[in-house]
Amino acid sequence: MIPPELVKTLELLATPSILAVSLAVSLRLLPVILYASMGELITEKSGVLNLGVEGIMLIGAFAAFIVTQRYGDPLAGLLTAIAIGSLVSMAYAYMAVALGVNQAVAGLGLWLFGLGTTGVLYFTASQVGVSVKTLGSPLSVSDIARVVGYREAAELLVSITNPLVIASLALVPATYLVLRKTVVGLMIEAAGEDPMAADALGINVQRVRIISTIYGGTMAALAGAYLSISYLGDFRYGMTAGRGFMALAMIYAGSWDPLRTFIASLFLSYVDALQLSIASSSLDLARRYYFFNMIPYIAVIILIIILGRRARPPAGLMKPFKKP
Amino acid sequence: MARGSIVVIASYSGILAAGLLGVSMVASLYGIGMLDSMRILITSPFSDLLHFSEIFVRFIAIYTIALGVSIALKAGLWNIGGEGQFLVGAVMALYIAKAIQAPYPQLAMTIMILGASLAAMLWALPPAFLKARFGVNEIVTTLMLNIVAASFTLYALDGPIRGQASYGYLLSDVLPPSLRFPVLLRIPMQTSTGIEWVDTRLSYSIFVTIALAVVLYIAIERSPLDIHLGVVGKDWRIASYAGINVFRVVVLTMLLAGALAGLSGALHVMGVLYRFDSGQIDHGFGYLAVLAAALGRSRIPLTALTSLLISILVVGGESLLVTIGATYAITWVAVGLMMIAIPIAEKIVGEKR
Repeated sequence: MIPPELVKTLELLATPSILAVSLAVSLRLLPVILYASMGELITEKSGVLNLGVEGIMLIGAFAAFIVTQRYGDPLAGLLTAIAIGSLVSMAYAYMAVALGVNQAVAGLGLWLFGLGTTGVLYFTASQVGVSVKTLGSPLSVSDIARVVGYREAAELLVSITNPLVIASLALVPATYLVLRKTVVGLMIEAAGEDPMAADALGINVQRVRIISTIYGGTMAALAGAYLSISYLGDFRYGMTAGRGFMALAMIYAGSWDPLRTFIASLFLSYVDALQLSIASSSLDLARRYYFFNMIPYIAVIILIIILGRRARPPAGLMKPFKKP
Repeated sequence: MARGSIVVIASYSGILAAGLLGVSMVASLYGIGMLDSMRILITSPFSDLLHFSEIFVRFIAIYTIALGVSIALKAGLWNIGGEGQFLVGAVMALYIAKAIQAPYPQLAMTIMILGASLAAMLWALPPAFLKARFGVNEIVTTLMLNIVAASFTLYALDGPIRGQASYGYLLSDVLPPSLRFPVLLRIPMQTSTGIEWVDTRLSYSIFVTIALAVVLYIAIERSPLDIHLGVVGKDWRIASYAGINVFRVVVLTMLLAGALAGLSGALHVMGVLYRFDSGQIDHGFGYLAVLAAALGRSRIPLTALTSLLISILVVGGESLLVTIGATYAITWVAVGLMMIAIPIAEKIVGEKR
């Protein structure tokens, strides 16, 4: 017995228009994963694991949302998210690097703390259900569709003219160049691979790790802010829905390489966009949204199995370093 | 030793204080004084027998999962997947109850429990294998599967275990009384016609949990296995030099953790809820169990105490939520703060000893 959803899904997958629209939508979903994974990649390369990415994303998303809702300026919201994200990750960096605590427990705690506080503040301090002005493309899909005639083309144009999307794409070569071609990248890699040797070479391992962790956390907050005030224009309790952990998984699938992480993230975003397009293509399918909702999470595990099998984490990952 | 235990007690008080302070601070957003909310949190679980019995209802669910989490944690593995494995177990138990016709109810209940454990065990297999074979971080994979499990439960409630009288809601049929654990505690209630004995939600399922805890304590914590797990938790390379089959230890402990979480789901359905609905998806027991095991330093007896403590806080927290009309998210503020406080306290204790 084949479930009717599967038949319908396969039929839809054969239509070119849904594939094209999904590509446009996936470009808009991509920054959520990309900001978080590119940031966390630097953090992990320096030898620190931040499992609290999901929590920081939620904090960033909420900070951006509430400032935009109160003051009507999404740019102010974005900057607030960046500021608060860096403060929270500073606290985490202090615990993980300076105190040298167990990063698994502290990171999980940070996640649940972010989930809880943003949930409570959303219901008490913000106006629930009132969406906000978004920060994104100056173009609107319906206007362009009227001119061009193709909805797919309009969606694509709107996706690639969003400055936050462009910035996230630019982050990939930037991360690659910094890690591979600069002294800073060498210092980060040394701190993560062999902190003792790095220390002997005169690198301040603690400082490199703290700065990398703050950078990664700030990028996570930016990812959250993008989700709330650019992609959706709204906040919901637990809205990141595991995307922070997906970003961590993409680093695995990409074997700690920026370009491979990007390819894995792009593939995942495409699967996610396809799933959304198919589920929203008819009321019948939309009623059984949970059937489609599972797909991206299963895709993550499949991606890890296919791409991440030979991955080797930085040797000093999760190992606190104390100057001898 | 005396000094050491004072430091340990002080560190536990600090962790608890972090959680209590956090909750009462957030609760004050709803216009309730911090002292008032702390009073509700601490005293309401003991205000009457009905509340008191609820402590043990939560304890069964949390501790059964926490047993598995703490055994995996001995080997350095974090099973965050209890949340989803619990759902899989609950769904499987209901599915078996609907699908099979056993001649004796006892046999049917046994099959339900075993089937639920087995299903949740299979649910834990991909993360276990990926961790053991390729070293993939089990926290990330088990968490992904939690979200899949939530969707899978909705799917099951809409299909295979959908109730005949669900009226368009996503809920299952009620288990027949023969497939339930008998109620353990009845309490007298004053009604207009005199005193009536009312069922609490506390059932005989608590003895399954206690018996399992004793068995696992003797079989694992009081045997050379404990040291094996500890060595694997310290360093895989040293463990394999010592002749330990790391692959097998990692896979088996993760599977055991999955089975126990699935069992917890089955016990919750057969002893407490008797039916399942979409409102149970965010039950949260899996994450509370992680907190319990981390607080209990992955020791089975100590984890019983911490599970009980967390159960008290959860019951108190729910009274607080009802009183002030707050969201369940408030619980995660406390859990998050306590989890952040644990490694800090451990660090301080470790340096003072």
